[in-house]
Amino acid sequence: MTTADGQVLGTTKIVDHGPASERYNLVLVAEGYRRDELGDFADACRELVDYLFATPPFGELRCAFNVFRVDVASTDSGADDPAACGGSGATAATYFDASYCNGGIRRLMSVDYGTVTSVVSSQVPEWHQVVVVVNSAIHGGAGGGIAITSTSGSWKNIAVHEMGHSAFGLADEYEYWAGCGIDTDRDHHPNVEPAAPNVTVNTDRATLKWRDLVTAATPLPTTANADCSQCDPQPSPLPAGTVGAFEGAHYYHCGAYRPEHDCMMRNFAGFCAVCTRRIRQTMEPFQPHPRCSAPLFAGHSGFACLGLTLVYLLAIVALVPLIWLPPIRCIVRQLLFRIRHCGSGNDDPCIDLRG
Amino acid sequence: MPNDTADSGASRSIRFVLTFQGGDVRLVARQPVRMTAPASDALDEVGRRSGFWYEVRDADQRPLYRRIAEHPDRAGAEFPTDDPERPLARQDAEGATGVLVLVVPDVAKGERLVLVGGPSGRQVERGAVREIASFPLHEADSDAAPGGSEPGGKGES
Repeated sequence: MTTADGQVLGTTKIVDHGPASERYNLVLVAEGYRRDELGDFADACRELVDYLFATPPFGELRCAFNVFRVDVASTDSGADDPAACGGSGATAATYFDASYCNGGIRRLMSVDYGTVTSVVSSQVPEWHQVVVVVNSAIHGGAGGGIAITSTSGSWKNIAVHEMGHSAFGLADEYEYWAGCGIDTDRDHHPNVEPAAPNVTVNTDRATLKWRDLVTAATPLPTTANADCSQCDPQPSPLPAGTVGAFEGAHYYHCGAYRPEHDCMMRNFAGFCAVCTRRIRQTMEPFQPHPRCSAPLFAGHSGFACLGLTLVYLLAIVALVPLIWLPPIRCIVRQLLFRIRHCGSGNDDPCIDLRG
Repeated sequence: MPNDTADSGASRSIRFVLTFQGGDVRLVARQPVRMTAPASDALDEVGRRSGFWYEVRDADQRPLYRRIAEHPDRAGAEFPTDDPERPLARQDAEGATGVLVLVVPDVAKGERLVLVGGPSGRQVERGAVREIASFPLHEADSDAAPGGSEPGGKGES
């Protein structure tokens, strides 16, 4: 229940792209792991880092990040699960006192934020974002600069989505509050422009805040919800990745628009172009100068990356002799000859070299 | 020495850790740290907007740094659902606690951190934004903090 129920064992820099004073520092903190379970925490951290850098645009921005893992052993596994919210009533003696049922919501978690702040500030003074990883199979979490997630279900998606909020100021792009078919007061968005960069009430092509990303051929609005009392069930009429103004966003069925049909901030799809731009802008001060090159296999573990690289190198080495077999060499020479002479007006430029 | 501009790189910054519960805003920590702050948003006139942002202002209330952010009040908490098509939803949570972590550059002439936002929860998009809380950038300057509270104190909204 308190810091007497565990111990801070130490910190490991698991992604190192330079001085902490110059990079964006993401800190992953263990909660509800017994000492003999901290290997599971290390695995979870690696999974999360791989997932983050496999999610565009973070792969191209990985050199702007450092990631730290703070190992904290607790007396018990898991988190409190109060019966008042329909939980099991279990209590766990853990260092940060993680619990479900924050504000009476079963899946909303809380921790002792003061203790987290104190521990992380002593371990990684330059921290920007903390994710407290709770060793529990029960779905749950919370957003914010000190985000919380249990390691269940789609927890890695949730962690990245919450970073979209807390680190980049992105708004939710889904068009409901409690759920489609549940809400009765989410028909029309108030006619006030949200400050967030990825939702709008404006469909004027001349003033739309992401107008530079919309082609002239894309209609605005791009979709309209035919029944504002419900979520819009229509699929995108345009190819995936088209930027426009799709009705249904920011917790309302109508009157608010999102840039693409799907997005991480809507349904865990990849970040849309507008969100991607916002992330790049935010991360610009953390980029090394000169820029480092993001690894080709961003998102894979080191051994997988090395293995793939070796396979490709071997394939290239195996193919080189084939290129220089006489028939192939002749075809290449013939192609080069035609490129040089076919447009020259020569009467007989395209001779067959094999003849 | 403070930075000359909000855009300077690895330099002096100040991290604020704030907790929200209902309308109460509490300052948990104010930490000067040699680290880089995220890029500033445009500093021109905001106009009529809903949402939330924070600013570093000078003595004349001019913004020197601004970041648009998620509304920190946990009145509307996001939680995972079991529906893969709609994997997240919101629920009213008036009594829930939330935390806001802000890293702002220690810019020259910067005097105060000001939080600006509108109503939260289900009404997050409605109503005019206003100053939610304000804190001196530096501890030595701590005095009355309109709308907010120093460590150990209780804020008001």
